Amino acid sequence: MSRVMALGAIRTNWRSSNISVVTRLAAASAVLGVLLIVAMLASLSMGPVSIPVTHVASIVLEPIGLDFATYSRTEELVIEQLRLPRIIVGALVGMALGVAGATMQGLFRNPMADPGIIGVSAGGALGAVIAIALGISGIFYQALSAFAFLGAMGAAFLVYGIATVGGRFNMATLLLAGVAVSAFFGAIVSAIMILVPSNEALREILFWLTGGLDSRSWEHVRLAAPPIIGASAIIFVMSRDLNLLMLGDDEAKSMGVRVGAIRPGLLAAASLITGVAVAVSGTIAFVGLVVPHMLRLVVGPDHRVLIPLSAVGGALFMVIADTIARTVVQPAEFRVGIITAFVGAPFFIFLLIRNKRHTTAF
Amino acid sequence: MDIMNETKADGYMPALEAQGLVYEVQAKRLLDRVSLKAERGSFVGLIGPNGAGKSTLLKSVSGLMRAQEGSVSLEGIDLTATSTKQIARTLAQVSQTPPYTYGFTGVELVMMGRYPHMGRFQVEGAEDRRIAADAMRQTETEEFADRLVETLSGGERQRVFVAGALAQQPHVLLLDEPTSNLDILHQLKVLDIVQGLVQQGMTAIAAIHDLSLAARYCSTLVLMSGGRVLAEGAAEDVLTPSNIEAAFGVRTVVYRDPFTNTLSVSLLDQATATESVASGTRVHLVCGGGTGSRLMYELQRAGMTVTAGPLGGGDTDRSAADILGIEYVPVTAFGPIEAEARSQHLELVELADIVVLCDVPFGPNNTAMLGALSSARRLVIIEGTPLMDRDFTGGSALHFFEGLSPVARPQGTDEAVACVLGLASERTGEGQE
Repeated sequence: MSRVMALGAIRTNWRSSNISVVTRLAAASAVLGVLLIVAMLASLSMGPVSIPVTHVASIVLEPIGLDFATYSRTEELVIEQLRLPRIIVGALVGMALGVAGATMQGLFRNPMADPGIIGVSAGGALGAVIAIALGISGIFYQALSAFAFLGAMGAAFLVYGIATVGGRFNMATLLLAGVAVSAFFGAIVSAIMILVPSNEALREILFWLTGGLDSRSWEHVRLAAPPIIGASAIIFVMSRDLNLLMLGDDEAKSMGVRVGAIRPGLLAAASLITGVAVAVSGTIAFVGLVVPHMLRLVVGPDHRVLIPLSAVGGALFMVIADTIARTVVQPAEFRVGIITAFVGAPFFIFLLIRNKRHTTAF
Repeated sequence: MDIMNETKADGYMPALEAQGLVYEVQAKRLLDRVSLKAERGSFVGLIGPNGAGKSTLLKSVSGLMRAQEGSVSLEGIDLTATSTKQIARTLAQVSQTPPYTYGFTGVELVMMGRYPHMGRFQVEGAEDRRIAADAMRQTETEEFADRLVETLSGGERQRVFVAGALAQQPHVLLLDEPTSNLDILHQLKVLDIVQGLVQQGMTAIAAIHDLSLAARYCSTLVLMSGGRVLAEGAAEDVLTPSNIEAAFGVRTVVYRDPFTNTLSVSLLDQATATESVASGTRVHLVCGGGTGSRLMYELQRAGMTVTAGPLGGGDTDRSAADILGIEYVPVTAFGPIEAEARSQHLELVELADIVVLCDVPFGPNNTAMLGALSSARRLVIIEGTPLMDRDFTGGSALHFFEGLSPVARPQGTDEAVACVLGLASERTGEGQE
């Protein structure tokens, strides 16, 4: 109880009218940023081969001339070629899912909205499954990611198209079309899984569907970083519009928001980053739902704070989840998608119960 | 709060003007060539039944909806040539039901009103904070600054939204039934705030359900029905029983409320079932001090022609007669009844099929009219209070009463109504035979 009250007090002081948005954002990002760096360093040092944190720091900082510890060539290779790209891809995916989740929840005025709400995740899964079933994934590098991305974007366009039939766009139709298209694509995925001839392909499909970050390389970083960082920045720039959109279309419009341009822009940006995330890591559950919701409880609903914090918070959550996935059953490995749901869902339920009597943040 | 109030040197320009607006949805005309003009510093009230087109009109003049025909100009500039942001700097809106606010605090919400004045990469500065604080002071919502808006009551929330609209620093404020979900205190509070703004030069246009409130606060009323404007102008010209019946289909009386000196609309009972039986009967009432008001109303509602005897200025029954449009004999309050009034009274008694003497006290000044009662065809005397107890003439009134032969002596007003209705139907029955 006292902890609940303490959280309430932090929140009240935190959101007092005397503290500007910039101060709040800077303070919270600093805290989460430090946590993210610590988590990343810890994650880098953990694994089948344990590497001291000083060595890790030295290896990471070597390119900028800070080379303060001696480390082996093997350690350098493990960090640079295996763990670092994987952790960076994980952070990017977490950032993407956090930002897309917060955006979709704001756009749909619904805390249950997740990044894949308009069919993006299901489309990505279908694309990837087709690539695996046809054996294309083995033919050339990145084919799986390319197919997943095309599937995700195809689904987004299809759902958006359905919702705008007749020239009158409707958010409720968008939501329902997203559910319908997701179910339809899910059915096709199930059918393919039954019809696929080899057990190996089936295993590969299952593997992909749970989402994971194994053997992610610098190639994936190069693919994912520009669209995720770019689109997240675009969403951040439109975050004040998103605040007004939450109140309602007429309210937003009457305060000067160009709803007709801003909303499709936000939808497109959120769908794009979700599609990219799905393409590099498969479908990862719960990050986009848990992270923004948790942050909203502390910092409030202002998207100018919430969007950037969801980016950092999502990255932090993914890095921790992936570290657990990599290390908990060594030498084997869990899929990170299992961990996010396994850790995220109970934590989410805990938050829901604890905040039941407290004012809802959404 | 400074509101731009300069008038162009080259002449006059209304704050907002709409001409010939037509809005059609699925072959149904929600607006049928509607024009509207709001002068600077005026408070225009849109009244009319549900579906009259008030909300559609408000949305059309604010740019939320685009009418298929017609034009809207905001401070002389065509709305179609204005960006959403530009409109939001000139015109703000408050909706009927404040939307759900998802955990925003009062000040966060009010600060959103600064949106149209800020660049994309700008954050609120000291000036914005000052304007928001001003808006909250004007709406008495400072205490809600750090409270979650969804925890406030409906009236408090509505005021926070008005503050948000004020933070836009608009010259024109549109309100779509801003008070329809509020209790009476908060209705007055919200409208008082708007009136205060209007006095400072703001132009306000509001759809208001309550006709008496509209008459009380607005400088101009526009009565709409079926997508058209039925009447517009001052409250006295718009709020007539016939206009109201044409728009709403209800029977009303409109009178000037003696306490607020504003027009007030009272709803009458809508049933007119007894009309066929009693219509055409003439009833004359001798009343005063409120003893006859209800009879006037009930008997007139039954379709009878009602007249009344001498009524002094300021008498409640006289006001009632004025409101209902009943003919009576006007006399000076508390003075003796002049010969002219007496003969007028006699004439009305003689014309009447039934004369009713209400529960009035008798003093030296009004016994004079009792003489006429002996000419009544059918006389009904209401004796709620025994005659003896309301004779202040020293017995002469009582003496006179003994000479009268009433057909009935009902004990109170309800009984009297039933009695008169019975007599009237007897009379019409006789007539038919």
